[in-house]
Amino acid sequence: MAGNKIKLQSNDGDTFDVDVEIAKQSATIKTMLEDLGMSEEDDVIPLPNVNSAILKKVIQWATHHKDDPPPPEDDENREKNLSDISSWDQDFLKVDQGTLFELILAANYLDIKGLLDVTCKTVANMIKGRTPEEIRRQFNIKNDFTPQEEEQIKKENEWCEEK
Amino acid sequence: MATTKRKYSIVAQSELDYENPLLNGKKIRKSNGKNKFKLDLLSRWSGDVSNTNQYHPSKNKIKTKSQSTLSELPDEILLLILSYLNKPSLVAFSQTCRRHQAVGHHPSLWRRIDMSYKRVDCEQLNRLLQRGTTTLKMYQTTVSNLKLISIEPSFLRHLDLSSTVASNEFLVNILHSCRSLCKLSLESLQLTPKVIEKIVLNEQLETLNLAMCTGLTLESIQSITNKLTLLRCLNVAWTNLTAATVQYLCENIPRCIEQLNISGQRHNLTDDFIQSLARRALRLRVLDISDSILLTDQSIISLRLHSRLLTHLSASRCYLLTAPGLVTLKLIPTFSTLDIFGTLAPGPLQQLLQECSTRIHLNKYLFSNIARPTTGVHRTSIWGLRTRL
Repeated sequence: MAGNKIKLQSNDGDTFDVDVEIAKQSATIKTMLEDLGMSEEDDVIPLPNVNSAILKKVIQWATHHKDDPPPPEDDENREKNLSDISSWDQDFLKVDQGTLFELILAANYLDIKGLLDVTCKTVANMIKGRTPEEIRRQFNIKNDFTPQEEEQIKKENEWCEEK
Repeated sequence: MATTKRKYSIVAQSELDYENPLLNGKKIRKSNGKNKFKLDLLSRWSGDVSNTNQYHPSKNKIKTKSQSTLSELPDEILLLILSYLNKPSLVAFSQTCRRHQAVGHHPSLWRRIDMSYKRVDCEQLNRLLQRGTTTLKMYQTTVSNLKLISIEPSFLRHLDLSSTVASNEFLVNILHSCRSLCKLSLESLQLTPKVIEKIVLNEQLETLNLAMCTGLTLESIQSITNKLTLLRCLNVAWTNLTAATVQYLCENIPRCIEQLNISGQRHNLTDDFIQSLARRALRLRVLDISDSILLTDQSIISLRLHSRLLTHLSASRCYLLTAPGLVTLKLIPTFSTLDIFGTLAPGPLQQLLQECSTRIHLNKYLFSNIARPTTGVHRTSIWGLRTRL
């Protein structure tokens, strides 16, 4: 098995040679390979939802994390920690918002739990501790509440504001 | 063959996407705004985002700077992001726009709540409970009496009202909203017949902590023992019960009781009552009878004879107990922990220590854990379930 490569093709037609074991961090690709059987080396897996730039990033991430243990299952009793992003991942995710969201969508489509978790955490960190107005500015969100509705929501949740 | 088939099916899928008129530019965002208010619990993580009308690779866009925005993420991903936030940040996010409010109120984000030390009114609490909270910690929460609206039926299963600062009407009100509680703590509160009446409507209740409550009458205890037949853990420590009430409790305790704290009853717990209790509660594993100053070794004999599953006994400050009496507890095969702080003088305690086998831990727990939601170092959990703000 070791050294086996497959070709991944982005929606803009570029193909990338990737180690099978690295590609299999994507549960979607893993299922494709295992369900359909993998024999010839020149097989190409088209990924119609991912463009070249993003696919390149995803492969870069998967290559760096190829020896990681599988991420733990979600458990409500485990504290979800926002600050445990490795410094490599932090550097890797210093990208513009559009790229970050596309990485999230790609991680979701390719079903790469580790990448999905760390990208979602990064977005959560951009929300944490900010006011609604700051969040709107951060993500360019249009406020579609009437002032009365906004007041109502604010009141309804007043109890949990940090003092 | 297989290869060809695979390519074909995937390409077909993507072509379908391109043909979908919803999959172009700004139209999508608008459609999201409306359609996405319908919230389903999307348990499906793997698979094809293209089904959700969210992701739309457009041929023109390729290799230009990506334009994806937060509003293009499907609800299931927004939920994953929001699951990392504490409640103040989650609430701030929910206040940004309608769609975010709808996603931000998803039940999965509000299941376990810690509102300890906070100030809340009934309307706010009602709104919260309608988001599907099942586990709620209200330790020392102050409930304001303004807006006394009635709380709608809730999904609460674990409720910790210990030391809540609230009126009796509020207690009745919130308990009235509960029908399927499993665990309930009202530690240090003033109880009334009306409150008891609401408690016993939760017939599946298995854990009830009434430690240091006032207002527990014979009628209350009758109601509890008769209606709550599935009770496995009960704490009525320091509740000032009358002797007749203690007697009734010992003689009528639900038969499946496994953990009982009946400490602090001073002169009102006797050897006879312990005998009744031991004969009836055959599944008893943990028992706290501390601060019952009339109990003698006769009680130890009753426990030794009948409580064959007993693992842990607390009998601190039961001054009439003796070392030779207590040491016989080691004859119970499962017995492992004995807390007798202040019961024996240093000499007899030393003697007991020598005679107990190494299997038995002496004076390990200063305070009872029976039925209590928060014990030891796990300050943010109730009954082992993590809650957070």
